[in-house]
Amino acid sequence: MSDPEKYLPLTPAVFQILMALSDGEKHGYAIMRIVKEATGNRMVLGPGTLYGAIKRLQRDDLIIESDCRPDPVIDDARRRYFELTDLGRQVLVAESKRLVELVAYARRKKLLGAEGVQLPGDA
Amino acid sequence: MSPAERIYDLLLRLFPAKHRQDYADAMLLHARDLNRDANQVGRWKVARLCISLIKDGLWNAWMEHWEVSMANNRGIVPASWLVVLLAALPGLLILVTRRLPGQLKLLPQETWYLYLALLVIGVPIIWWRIKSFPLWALLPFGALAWSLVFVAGMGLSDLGNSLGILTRNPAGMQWGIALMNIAVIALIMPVMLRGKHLKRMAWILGGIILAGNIVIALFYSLYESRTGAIFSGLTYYFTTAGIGPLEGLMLVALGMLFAREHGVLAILVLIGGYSYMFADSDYLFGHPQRDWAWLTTYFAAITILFLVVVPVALLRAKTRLGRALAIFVPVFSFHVLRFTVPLLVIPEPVRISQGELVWVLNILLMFVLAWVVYSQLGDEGRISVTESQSNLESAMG
Repeated sequence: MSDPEKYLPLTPAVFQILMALSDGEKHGYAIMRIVKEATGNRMVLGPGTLYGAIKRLQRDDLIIESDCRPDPVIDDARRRYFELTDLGRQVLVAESKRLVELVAYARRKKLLGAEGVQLPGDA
Repeated sequence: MSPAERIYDLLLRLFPAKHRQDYADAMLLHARDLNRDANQVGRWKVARLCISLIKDGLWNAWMEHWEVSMANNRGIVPASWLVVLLAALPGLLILVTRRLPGQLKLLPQETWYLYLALLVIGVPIIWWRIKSFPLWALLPFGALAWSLVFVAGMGLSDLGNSLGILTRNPAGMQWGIALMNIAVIALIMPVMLRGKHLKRMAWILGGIILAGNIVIALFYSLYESRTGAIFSGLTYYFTTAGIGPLEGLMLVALGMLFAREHGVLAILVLIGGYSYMFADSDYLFGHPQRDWAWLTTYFAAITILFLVVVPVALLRAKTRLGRALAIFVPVFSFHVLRFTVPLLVIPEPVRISQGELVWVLNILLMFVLAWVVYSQLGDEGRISVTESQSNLESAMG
């Protein structure tokens, strides 16, 4: 299996797409909705950007298309579902660790917390 | 179908066939979902969605084609003869239509329109036929890049004239173009050098080109006794030795920038710019070009050289050195002929303009410089996943 480190750093869009898939398979529109919500409406993925990223993620084996198909009665049969691969999950974890280290570095530099800048998770 | 879907349906036709085949249905569905969301908010939201979808479609279609083009760039594997034939097609087209009388001429004489016509007519046809961006299409792109800087320089000169800073004579006009070239070099070089140190030879060559031209201009000025003053000599440098050195360095800088991302393709951008300059030369064999009876032959030679010989040789070359020679040898030969032919065929005393000589030497030096840079950067980098995605994101805002 490929070394997850070689895919880092991820771009914000790729990171958010992988995060959206981290708790199960989803179709493109659902991914977009989750990313939009997670970023406070700051990142709205258009069809070209989303499926361009999905194509590259599939090519790099970070995600695969799921066999799951919706019931045509309740949803559009053209919807395609995607899910994380083991490699994709490892890459996502590695990127998350990298970001945590960056934040820790910023804290050591007193850019956060001590200087009055509160993070969402701060008490 | 909603307006947003209709727009995206049209935009999807711009994407590569394979991408359409794999994702068109899902992308259209995505556009429909976005339209439904926007409809719930109001008409203005739908209008904003349509604008963002146009931006998304146009930019990503271009990026997907670029990626396909990069993936199809098979390095030093020679192209098939079909591709070679197609590469030569635009040059042959221009050559043939130049011989047609009056209104039947497909292209105007001005090289600007000539290359523009190549872009408009030739590139999409060949692109459609071989299903990838044709390498030779960077020739007109390079020429257009050079021309844009030239036109911007003229605009700067006009501004200088209106403010009373620059004179309206040719020297004043040349300063604007020179300043624009310097601005482009200054903008590109820091970006270029941030990640990579150039070979010492590249710095030496660049220094020789600039310093050599200044020295020549000073001697030239004093020898001709036209002014005898240093500042006038430097002004004369820009008008007689020409802005060729700066134009060439600007193209080398531009090529280096491209080489970082697009590897060997960058050299074609340089050649595209140079080919424009060759066609734009006012003198040939020391004779004013427009008065010269062999003008058609001159243009034919340029056309064959840059739009047939160089692309075909590039496509058929089997090694990296072969590619470099495919560019350098035809250019070198052409300029050697420029100075040897008059000695053989013109009975009257040869009138080789010193400015022309300096200009040609500059161009040859510039090619050597490009070759040195090419040897360092030429095979590097295709767009990686992360870089490509970054571009997409920055374009999407």
